[in-house]
Amino acid sequence: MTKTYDLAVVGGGAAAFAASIKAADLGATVAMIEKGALGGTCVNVGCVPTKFLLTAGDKWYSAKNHAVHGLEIEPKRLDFARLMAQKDEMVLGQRQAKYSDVLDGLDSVELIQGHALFLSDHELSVDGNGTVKADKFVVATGSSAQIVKIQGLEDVDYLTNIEALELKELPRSMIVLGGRAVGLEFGQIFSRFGSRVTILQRSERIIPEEEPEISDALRRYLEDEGTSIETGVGLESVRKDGDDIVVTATVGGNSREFRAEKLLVATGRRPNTTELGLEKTGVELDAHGAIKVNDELQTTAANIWAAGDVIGEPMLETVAAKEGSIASHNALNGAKKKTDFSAVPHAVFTVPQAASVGLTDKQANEMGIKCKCRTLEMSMVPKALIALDTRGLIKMVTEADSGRILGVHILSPIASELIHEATLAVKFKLTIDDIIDTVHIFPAVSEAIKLVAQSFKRDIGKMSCCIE
Amino acid sequence: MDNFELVIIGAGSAAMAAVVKAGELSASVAIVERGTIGGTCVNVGCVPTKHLLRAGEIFYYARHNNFGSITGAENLKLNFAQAIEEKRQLVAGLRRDKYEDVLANVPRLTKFQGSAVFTGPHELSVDGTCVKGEKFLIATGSSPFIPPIEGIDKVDYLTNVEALELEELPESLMVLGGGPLGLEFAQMFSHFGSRVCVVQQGSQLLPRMEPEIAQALHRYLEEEDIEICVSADARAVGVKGKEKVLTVRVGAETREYRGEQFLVATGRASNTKGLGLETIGVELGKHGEIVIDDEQRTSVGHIYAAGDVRGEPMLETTAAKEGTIAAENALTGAYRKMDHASVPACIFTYPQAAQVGMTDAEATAKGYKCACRVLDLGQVPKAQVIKDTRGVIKMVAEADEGRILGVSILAPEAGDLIHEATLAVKFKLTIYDLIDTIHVFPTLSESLKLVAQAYVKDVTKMPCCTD
Repeated sequence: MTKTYDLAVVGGGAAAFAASIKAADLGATVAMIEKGALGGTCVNVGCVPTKFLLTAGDKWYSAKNHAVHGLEIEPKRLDFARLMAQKDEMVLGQRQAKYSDVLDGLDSVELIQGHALFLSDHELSVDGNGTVKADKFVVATGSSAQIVKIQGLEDVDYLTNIEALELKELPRSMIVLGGRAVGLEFGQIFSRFGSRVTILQRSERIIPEEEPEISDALRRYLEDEGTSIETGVGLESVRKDGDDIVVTATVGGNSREFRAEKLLVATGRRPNTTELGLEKTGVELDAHGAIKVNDELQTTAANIWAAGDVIGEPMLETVAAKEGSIASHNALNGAKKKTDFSAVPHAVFTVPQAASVGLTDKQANEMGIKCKCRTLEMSMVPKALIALDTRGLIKMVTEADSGRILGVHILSPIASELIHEATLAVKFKLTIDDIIDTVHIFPAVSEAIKLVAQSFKRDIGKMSCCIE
Repeated sequence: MDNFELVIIGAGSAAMAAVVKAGELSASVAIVERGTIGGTCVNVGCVPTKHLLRAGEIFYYARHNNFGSITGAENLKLNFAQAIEEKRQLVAGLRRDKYEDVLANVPRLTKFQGSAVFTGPHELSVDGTCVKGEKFLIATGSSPFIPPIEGIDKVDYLTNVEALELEELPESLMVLGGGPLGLEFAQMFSHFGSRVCVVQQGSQLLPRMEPEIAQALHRYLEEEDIEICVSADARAVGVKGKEKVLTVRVGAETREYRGEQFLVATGRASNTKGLGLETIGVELGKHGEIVIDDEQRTSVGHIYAAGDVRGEPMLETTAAKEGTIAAENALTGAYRKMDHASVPACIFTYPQAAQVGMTDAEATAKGYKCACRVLDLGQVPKAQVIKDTRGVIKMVAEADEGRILGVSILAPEAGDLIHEATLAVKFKLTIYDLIDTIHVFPTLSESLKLVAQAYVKDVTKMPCCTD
């Protein structure tokens, strides 16, 4: 049996939902085809559960490790299984409220559960029985954990983000392959709950795309908390040894063995573009297996658009949602809307958090921009002293002549919130003078943004509180 | 005798900012201070209160968190005297770094210690020493206002100054005044373990804030077992045994409130007495504050004023900016004006209440056709994720174009979140600008985007991150 829709959306995550809602707003009939749980990576096995566990870990850890002299804290109990159960409840609740209920409210969107396989540019089958025809398509199938190729890895029970979130018992120890956002967040979650954690990172730095000052400082803080971090690691092999998993790797020219109860693979994400029958369509993939799109998110097949992780980096929920909406708008009424991702903030939710918007120093230089940067330690911000947590720093990248703010990079316990002031500054082309002229709350961590702007003009070590 | 280009009276944030600006302009400058350098903020205001509030939060929320899996902190101990000692060290350190050391680096600065009295338009007597100047800046700050309640002069009440120097945690604390200061102290002591009641004259706590914010905070404080009485007219205060007893009228009813300690937090009065202002003709307002024009000039052309001494709003940040502007105007004739329209303010309770721009009532009073939206923080995914959905955000926008006129936020980090809103108000952004701005997921800052989206759609029927 075949039904025809104005738009068929393949996937059920952030991009797919945004695409379906936009289509419904435009009065189109929509089929949303999803094979698994609604909501995609973010709500089920991504941002939502990990940030929950990071928050729990922070409560647990910081109750025991704080700098206030007058507070003596007795040992406390952690019920890991109960915590994971609460995490499951929270995910269910969010999925229901933000996805299932939303879909129920969209009369012109029909959810079809099953595996979609393109038969041509205009038709796909679902689980082999029944086909769906549509004028236009949006492919929003997301991404999955990219598994690095190492000898022996397939023979051990390794974890990805999905399995790590389903553990019922806290592991004694864990090796994490990968020192980017996912690896660091999971590493800190388990380390703070009490697992002995070792992070192995191939590059010379953790979070290598971020400013080196931020990468170095975050590494130091994580190590101070007891996490082992090795960088410049060449992975050689993995094997099972009794209850442990053993990873053999070269570090600094020496071959070493790392041993732990669990192994988490966090070596990146790959777009979900296989097993979709894309070869039957005009859709082309790039070298990383991501769907090629133009700046209006149209693929190389004229009636097929794509959005979200499936088109490659940056793989962010927020970007996916915006792309889904744009793709659907362009597909259905030729809106020719373009993606503008020059002011997309993102954050790594470790404690402290590393958040960033706009250009890094290096990116600005590569683009041939004459830029000027300043870095400020959080210990220069009164609120950090008052709250007895001076960890972190802020770096600002500006265009040298005009003082226009091109990028801001923050390491702070609340960097993911602070970055939004900077995001408006970058997006609306503000200058350091604009920020200096803006009164900031005293005492707030946000003063860091004003102070780093002021540091372009004066020695802020010789400045009293709050002055211009 | 020296004739200084600028003589500054006071050594708080307005005065310090003026000294630094004068130093940059290479002017000869004198500073006259009778007490401790740094003023209210660093010594007995923002700095020590925010520090102790943070300690209280750690102590209280370690035992009261919403994570059922993390338990067992019932035995947590607070060493109050040690907390106060730690506060002293912090204050001394910041005072040295941000004030004393800064002053030491200003060239052509002369310091006078003592009380300043104008003896003529261009001269002061500082405990008998004559100081002459071409221009003057009065930045003497403010002190607690003590209301004339029967019996108040016979009880040992506390102000912010004494409350920060208690050696023992009081078993109970009675707070008169439900403004920022009263609520911060009330929650601080409540978190430490004192039984606290707040008596407020008006019908709303935080009367200048949006009612939705004030009401929600009222509810949260009551849920933490703080007793709150509003619309209360304090009639008399006395001592019974170890307790102070406050008699209030609420409607037709007479009630008594008691506390081992009694904190008076009924506002601040500008420090204008004893300065000899009447002899030189500096005009004062009806609350005793110095009247200034929009360039910080008093009614006497060569005398400027900045900070709390010129009345509301009394904020450290505004004071500093005014001090800079006043010094620049006085020394260079720059005609700079203070822009109060986009100054954010915050009350550091937990959750914090922050505000920038106009409230609904202010916008309506100014004749704006405005549209407002209110969003519960429970609608923001991050609040669900961190298991703390307390809070609310309200946006006031100009109805036709959607220009953002004001934002009020009640949230755990509202004092930081408000800066995105501050840029939006200051740079005249619209709700569409905020909707078009990608926000990090999951953050509380998303509440700003969501409340802007609430103008154009039903945000309760929307998945995460959608435009």
